[in-house]
Amino acid sequence: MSLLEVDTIDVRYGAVQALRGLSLCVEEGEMVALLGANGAGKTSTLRTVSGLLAPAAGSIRFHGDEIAGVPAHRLVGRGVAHLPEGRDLFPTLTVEENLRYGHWTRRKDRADYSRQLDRMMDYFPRLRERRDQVAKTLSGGEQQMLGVARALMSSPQLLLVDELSLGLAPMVVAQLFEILQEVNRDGTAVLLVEQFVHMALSHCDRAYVLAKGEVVLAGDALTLRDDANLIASYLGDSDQTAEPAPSKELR
Amino acid sequence: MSQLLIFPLLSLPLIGAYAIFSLGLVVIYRASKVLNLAHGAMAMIPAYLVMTMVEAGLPMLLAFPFGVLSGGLLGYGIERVFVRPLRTVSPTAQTVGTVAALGLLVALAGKIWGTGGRAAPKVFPEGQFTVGSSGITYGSLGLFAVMLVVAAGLYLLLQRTGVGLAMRGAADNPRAASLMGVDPQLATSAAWVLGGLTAAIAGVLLASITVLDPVVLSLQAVPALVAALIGGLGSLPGALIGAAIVGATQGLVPAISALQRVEGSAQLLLAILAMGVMASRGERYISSDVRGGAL
Amino acid sequence: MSADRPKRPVGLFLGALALLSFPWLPFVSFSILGSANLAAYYALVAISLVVLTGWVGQISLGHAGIVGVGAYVTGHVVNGWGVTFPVNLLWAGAAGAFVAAVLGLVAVRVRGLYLAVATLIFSWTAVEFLFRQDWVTHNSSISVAAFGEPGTFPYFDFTSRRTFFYAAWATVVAAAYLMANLRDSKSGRAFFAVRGSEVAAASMGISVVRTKLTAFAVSGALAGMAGNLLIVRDQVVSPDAFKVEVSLFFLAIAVVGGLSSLGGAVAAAILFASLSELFFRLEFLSGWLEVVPPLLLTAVLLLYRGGLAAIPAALRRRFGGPYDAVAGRLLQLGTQVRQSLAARLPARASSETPAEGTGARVGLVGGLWERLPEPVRQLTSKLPGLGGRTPVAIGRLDLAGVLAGMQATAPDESHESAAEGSTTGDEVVAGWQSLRLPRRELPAAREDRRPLIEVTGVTVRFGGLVAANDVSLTVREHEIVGLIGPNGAGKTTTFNSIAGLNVPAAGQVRIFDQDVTQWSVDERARLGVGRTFQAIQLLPQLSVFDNLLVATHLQNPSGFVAHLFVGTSTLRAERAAREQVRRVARLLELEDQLDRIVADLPFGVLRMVELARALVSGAPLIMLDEPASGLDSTETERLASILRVVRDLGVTLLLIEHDVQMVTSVSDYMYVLDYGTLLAEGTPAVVQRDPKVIAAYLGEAPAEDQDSLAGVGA
Repeated sequence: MSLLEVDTIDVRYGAVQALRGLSLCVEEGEMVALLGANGAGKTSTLRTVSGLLAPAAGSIRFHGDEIAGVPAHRLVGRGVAHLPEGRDLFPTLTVEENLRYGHWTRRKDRADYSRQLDRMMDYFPRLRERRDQVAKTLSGGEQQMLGVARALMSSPQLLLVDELSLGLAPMVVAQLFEILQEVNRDGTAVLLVEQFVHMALSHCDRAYVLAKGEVVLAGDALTLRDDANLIASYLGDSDQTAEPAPSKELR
Repeated sequence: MSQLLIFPLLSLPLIGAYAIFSLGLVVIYRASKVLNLAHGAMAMIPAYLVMTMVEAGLPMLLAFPFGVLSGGLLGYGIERVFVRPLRTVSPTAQTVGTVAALGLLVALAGKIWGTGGRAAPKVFPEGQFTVGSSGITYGSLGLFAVMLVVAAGLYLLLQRTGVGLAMRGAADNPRAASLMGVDPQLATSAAWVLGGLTAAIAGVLLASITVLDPVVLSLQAVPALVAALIGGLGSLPGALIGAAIVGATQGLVPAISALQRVEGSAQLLLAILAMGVMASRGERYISSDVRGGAL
Repeated sequence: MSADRPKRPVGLFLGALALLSFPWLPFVSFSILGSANLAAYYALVAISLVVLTGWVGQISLGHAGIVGVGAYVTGHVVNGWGVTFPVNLLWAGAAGAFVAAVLGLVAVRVRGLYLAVATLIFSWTAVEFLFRQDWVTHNSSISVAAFGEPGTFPYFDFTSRRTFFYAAWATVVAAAYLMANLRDSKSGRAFFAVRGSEVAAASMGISVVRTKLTAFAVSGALAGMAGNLLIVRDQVVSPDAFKVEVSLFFLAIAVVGGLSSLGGAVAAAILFASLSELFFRLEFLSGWLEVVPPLLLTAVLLLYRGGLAAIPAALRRRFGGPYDAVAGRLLQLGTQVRQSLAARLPARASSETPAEGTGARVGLVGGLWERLPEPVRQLTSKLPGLGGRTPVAIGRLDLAGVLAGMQATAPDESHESAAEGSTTGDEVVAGWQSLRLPRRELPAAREDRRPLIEVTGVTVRFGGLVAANDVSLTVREHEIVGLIGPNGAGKTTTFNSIAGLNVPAAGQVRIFDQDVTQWSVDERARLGVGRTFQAIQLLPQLSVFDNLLVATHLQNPSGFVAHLFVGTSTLRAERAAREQVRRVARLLELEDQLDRIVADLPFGVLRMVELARALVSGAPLIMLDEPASGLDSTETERLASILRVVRDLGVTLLLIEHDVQMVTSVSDYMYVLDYGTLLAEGTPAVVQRDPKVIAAYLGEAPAEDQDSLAGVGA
């Protein structure tokens, strides 16, 4: 039984069909990447798993329990944490308050809070320096660190990360990925959405490639890296692109 | 000399009342992005309830807390019935919803208790502090003092407790809050209850030093709204500053002899100030993520 | 909105009958007549709110203040200058329009919630300050309320309730008539467009500021006139009539009526006046009247949002057959009456039949307006319309002309399309799939083609973040240019600089050889730029046809005054506009969808409607914002084909897209952005193979993988 099983889900935003019969799974302790061009449905997938969206069809199982349609605020207590794209911090709260918020589902355990807080400060020393600073005054990289730390405060079994690298310098991104790997080694499964293929593939065990709401490629990271179809799924098949000419008769 | 003191002293209860109202309005606005135009009604009904309880023989010591609780209940009810169902339409539609609530509550109060002004029971003992040849009643002083307590209490609740943290975060970013396990809807309801509780406190106290009238008391929310707007609608300290400005203006402007003859000049000044603040913070009239529809 | 449904003649016919005979009916007592007059007052205010809040979406919690201004101004002109009704009505209207327009200036800066509060504060200030000033209120009682001299003819004594009844309701009917004309005209469509989406309205050339100000002025005029009715009726007013609660009450009337419907507003006004009469009569109900308006408001808001206006449609659904039979009979009667009236007018007014399906009223009054001397009409045409200053326009794409030069291809298809041809004789337009397009003669080298968009060194900053850094690109005539790049690359920022949604900190944007860097969205639209939106910006409650009709704004020369009175020029312009819509709909194979409501349509169709709307506007340059977003692969391919056809019809296209596959298949030239800077440019074949582009999308490859990367896609 996998930790997370997504089984043929359909997801709609109003009139738009975002996901069409999508399936994937994540095993305990695995680090899996969700790749694909923008608009392919990667973010929608994470949002459906974390409970921000409800699928119109299909099922999602966590530890074997059906969780499709369970609203987000009830899901996080079960061990799923979601770090959305754009960091999604509490801008007017301080660093420490943001972290405390992340610990909300375990707030009764004060000892655990101190433990987790120290652990996060060890991962991200810069946060310790800035613990009383208001979140919106942090730099992009620091905000992302805070986002990751906050998501980890509840000691989740499955961490969903959406576009960690967005707007960050490559060195900071590399740092963050290192930390994710360490977290993963400590036992947390990670499902991450990433636009930068090589960064993701060099840190993950497996990957799925999405296009137009469906899975078009899947496999383990090393194999996918050399797959020509990978580039084609992002940039189109360059062999088929001819020099453009004005169209005349069409079908 | 002591003549000049009258007007600042007269301002104190006004500042007190407006501050409490304004704080409540800001808490509600931050949580649900709705301007609660029924705030005055949330002050008025509990005032009438307290009067009824006291007339029925209940001591003020018991009637007051009951009255305040009723305000909290009213706050929850208004959000649940008039605001939440219109969530999918727009914040403006929700504000019109509060208008409907206001009208209903004022009409009901008029029907049950009559539309004429009534004398509300005193909360603080009769008598006044004399300052020179003028003075300030215990009631007015009490209102101001209670305001300080309320402001301090709100501050402690929101800044120092877990519940307050949950509410602040949910107001800041509801999606992130739900991802952390906090139900944003619950946080919103809590904000409205808080708004109702504080409005009730202000209502009972204000009625005891002025008059109990369904319409007049409810419309005290408008200067409080102006206060909240001047303070920027975003922060509690801002609400207090706005209330101070509004209360002081209403108290002091009539003291300026040149303006004394012009009735309502204080209100005009405040209106211009509020419009100015709104216009200067207004967005460019087209922004790229404009959504359509008003009601 | 624009279809002639049977319900309207029913309502009009019954209403006219009721109005004329009402005061003479046996059961109508003195007090009932008084309530009927109250209803007229309510109706006029409600109509003013329908225009402002219902149609343009500008909420007003302060209308009682404007009504009060109208009342007091009437008092002044009657007592001071002896101006009689109906001239004092115009004075009240002018005063109301002025005050409302000033309030409207605030509306330009604030929106939604803040506007509601601003109007509330205005109402409060009017009561606390304005109506306490002696110089305002000293003429609050008028000594004479009459028209003409006693003893002579005509003489109307408005202190008589019956006389006032006719005067007041005549005013209401006239107001409703003019507003109905306005609603079905280009101005009315501009109102709806601004309510639905300000940025989309601007992209069609509608000046949002002028539209809002006009709406405020019109609404203020009507509210001022209502104030006039009030003081004429009672010969005295007190500030109590204009308190804040009264503003809220007025809003309640409009909402209960359905907020967007003129008929509903009148019905709600009658309802409220009747209820006040009823409650007055019935002892046991006394004191409960106060509860009714907020109760009804709550009920409508929460349970039945269509208000009274939704009832006829509901009745129709329920009682279909018999309802239609009765309606049909009344429709016949009404048409006969109308035709015999029209026949009595001189030939010029009646020869012009309404364009099919316009719903525009037969220009009875319009015919009179046509008779005004030419100089007067010239003057009115110079009044500010809703299109604002027109910069040097490059000219609309003459789609009709272009399509007229084509022929359908295969023989069997030509028969079909001939049968479906339009009603204007020689114009046979087929859908895009059966078009045979001639090869366009273009200079071979791209640099020799005329540039339509020139972006030079544009840098855009948001706070400390540099979203676009020294970006330069060109879009040349008759080509499709694609702008791509990974997430956060600055595509949308650059796009928005060209569209007019942000102002660059440095650099220049030139369109049609004009420096438009500081121009607003609607000014660029008037220059000849159209656009589509990633998030569909259509009006969901209207039909596809009505949505597309809005886009004819810039091609419609008729002016605001003409819209009120519906002259022959207005009708002609309407007909041309409707033909343009049908032409484009046929081209994009949307004909079957024209009468369907947007909210009911699937997403793929809506994307087509967005594109159709840009084409209807006749813009020779169209910018597309992620047109394939949300479409499946089949729909995307279809879109690509359609875009090629559109280009070959003479439209130049610039699009941003994440679906690189689609962009490479459709573009003639491409630009790639990354981290806010221009990374690469060239034809699709070149760009697709550029290792920098591959690296930008896929991320930097680790050193040892460079070999395998080079081997791919060669």
